[in-house]
Amino acid sequence: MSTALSGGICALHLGTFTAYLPLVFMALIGITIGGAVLALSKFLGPRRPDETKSLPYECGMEPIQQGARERYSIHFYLVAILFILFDLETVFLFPWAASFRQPGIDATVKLVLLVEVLLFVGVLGVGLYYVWKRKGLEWD
Amino acid sequence: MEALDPIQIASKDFKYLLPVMLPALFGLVALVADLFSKSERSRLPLCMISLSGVCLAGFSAIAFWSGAEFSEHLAGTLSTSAFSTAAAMPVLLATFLISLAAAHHGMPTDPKATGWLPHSLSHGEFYGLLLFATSGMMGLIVANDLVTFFVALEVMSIAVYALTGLDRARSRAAEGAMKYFVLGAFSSGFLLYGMAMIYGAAHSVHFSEIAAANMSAGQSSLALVGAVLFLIGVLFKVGAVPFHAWAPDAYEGATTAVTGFMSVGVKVAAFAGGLRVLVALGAGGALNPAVGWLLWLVAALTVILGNAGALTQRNPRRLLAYSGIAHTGYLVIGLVAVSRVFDTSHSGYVTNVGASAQLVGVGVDAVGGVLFYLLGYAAANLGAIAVLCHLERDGEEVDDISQLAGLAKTQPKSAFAMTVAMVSLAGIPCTAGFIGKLWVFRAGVAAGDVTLVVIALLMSVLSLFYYLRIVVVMWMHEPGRGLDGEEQQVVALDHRRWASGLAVGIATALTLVFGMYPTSGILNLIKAGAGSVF
Repeated sequence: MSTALSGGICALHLGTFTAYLPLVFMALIGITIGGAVLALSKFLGPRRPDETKSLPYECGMEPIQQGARERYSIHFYLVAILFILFDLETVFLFPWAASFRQPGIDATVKLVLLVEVLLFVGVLGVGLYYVWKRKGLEWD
Repeated sequence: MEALDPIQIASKDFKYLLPVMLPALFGLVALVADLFSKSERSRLPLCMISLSGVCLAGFSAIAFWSGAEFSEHLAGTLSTSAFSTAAAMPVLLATFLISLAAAHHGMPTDPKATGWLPHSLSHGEFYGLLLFATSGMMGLIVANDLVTFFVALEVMSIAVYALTGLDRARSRAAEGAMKYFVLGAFSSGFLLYGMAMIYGAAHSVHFSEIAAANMSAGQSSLALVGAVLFLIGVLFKVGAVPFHAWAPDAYEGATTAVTGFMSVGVKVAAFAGGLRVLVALGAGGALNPAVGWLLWLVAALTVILGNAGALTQRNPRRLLAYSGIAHTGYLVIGLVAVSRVFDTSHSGYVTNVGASAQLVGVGVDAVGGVLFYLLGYAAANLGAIAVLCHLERDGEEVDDISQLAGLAKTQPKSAFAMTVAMVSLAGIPCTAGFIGKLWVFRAGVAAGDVTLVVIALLMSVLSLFYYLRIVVVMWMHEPGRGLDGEEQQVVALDHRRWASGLAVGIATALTLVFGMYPTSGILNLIKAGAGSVF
């Protein structure tokens, strides 16, 4: 009884490990290629650092300022808001797509689901069109 | 993965969603239509889009919602009855009249000038946000579970926050919008926390299942804390003391049309949605007798502080803000009466009843009173707001009641409309405000809260001072002479502003009709709606 049980656990462990094997290979390949590229650029690339290049990268704005009350462009805010909007769209679309393909949903309900998501994307599309025409996507 | 349960949605159920979705659809149309309209031209087409959206929503609400009993639709997310229709009427009235009243906002006074004011209200964003907020309000009225309730509340609130700060050129608008937004987000937190606890106690978010849950048995403290936190969120939205601090600044900062919309629309929707939840919580045994006394205290404080705050105000929008707080207090008396229905230990009944049928009768009377009060308040308050919109010139609005001096001589029609609105808000007979107050106070007395009603009556007397002061300034002062005898510019008559004039006329007519001869259609709708709540 006890040997049979422990054999079962061993088999389970082995099976689990086999299932994760591709992931391990993927990680190894990633580390190798990424490391190789970094190492090559370190040994082969020319380096002439100046003040601007050594600053941390902050999406185009001045990363180090005198005090927190320094003003920065309101455009960042607009871009961030628009980004969140369309980011959330994908957040909603993924679970929708996953559940839409579930078996056992009848055709009428599928049609309802499709119309609902088209409405959702349609409203966002109108929003995008509005922002575009109002020149919200232009920097200047 | 397991297959999902099939969703129980009948396609014919979607018609019940029409009154909620139509305003949002027309809001999108207004936004897109605005892209194609030239800035120097009149924005009346947008006003027409808004009006047609409101009318269609109103017709579909009357056609689909007016059942004598609540019926659930769309997997139990909505439930509709005559109550929904009766509560939708003041909301749609607000959107209708404000759309009209704002249609000429920013029109240049000089007839030869072509360009409209750049920051005027009457552009697509205003009508878009107005209709989105209306959609949220309609959703709040028919919500049948806590999740739908919260989504609808946020749709309404976020649109109203943006509307408050729409006039970007004025710093007061930004200040008001910021205060409203920060405090509103805070109150949403209270509301959500309350919802989580109610869910924990009742094991469901559906109102019907909350009402059927026996929470008084084992989960009474959890349910009680949930109910109180939930009520705090709702009381914030209606501007009840001590959650009223945002109201005067937000109302003063916003443009007059927005002030009118949020004072009426938000209040109606929050009271209607709040009543549904209160009844569900009460039936489920979540309402400890202490909740009734807390509401009692809130009602008394709101009535006293609202009226006391209004006494010294000279800015008409700020005055209407404090008057709105006071009216919230009168309405909370209705909520107190509703909460007494579920309080078996309450022994203060004047009529010496104890039988549950009579208790329910008191609750039905209270809900009917609240619904009629909201309708009357909508008509009168929107009338006053429409007059102020009618007097706006070149983006300059009436900021001191001294500017109304001698209005009876220069613009007698506007002065008459303003007088009717003030008389109705004060609750003098022959106007809608009187019948609403009578109805709510009667329910309060029947529920045994005589002291509360006496406080409210005394404060109504006090309110005569600040309402009638405006009437005195309009009819007894000379044009161009302010309250302190200072020079005031006389607002000239402008015949081109027919839209705001029409809004003034409709609001005044409704105030008088509801007050002197309320049609049986409206009264039957309100009575049927109140009867369906319990």
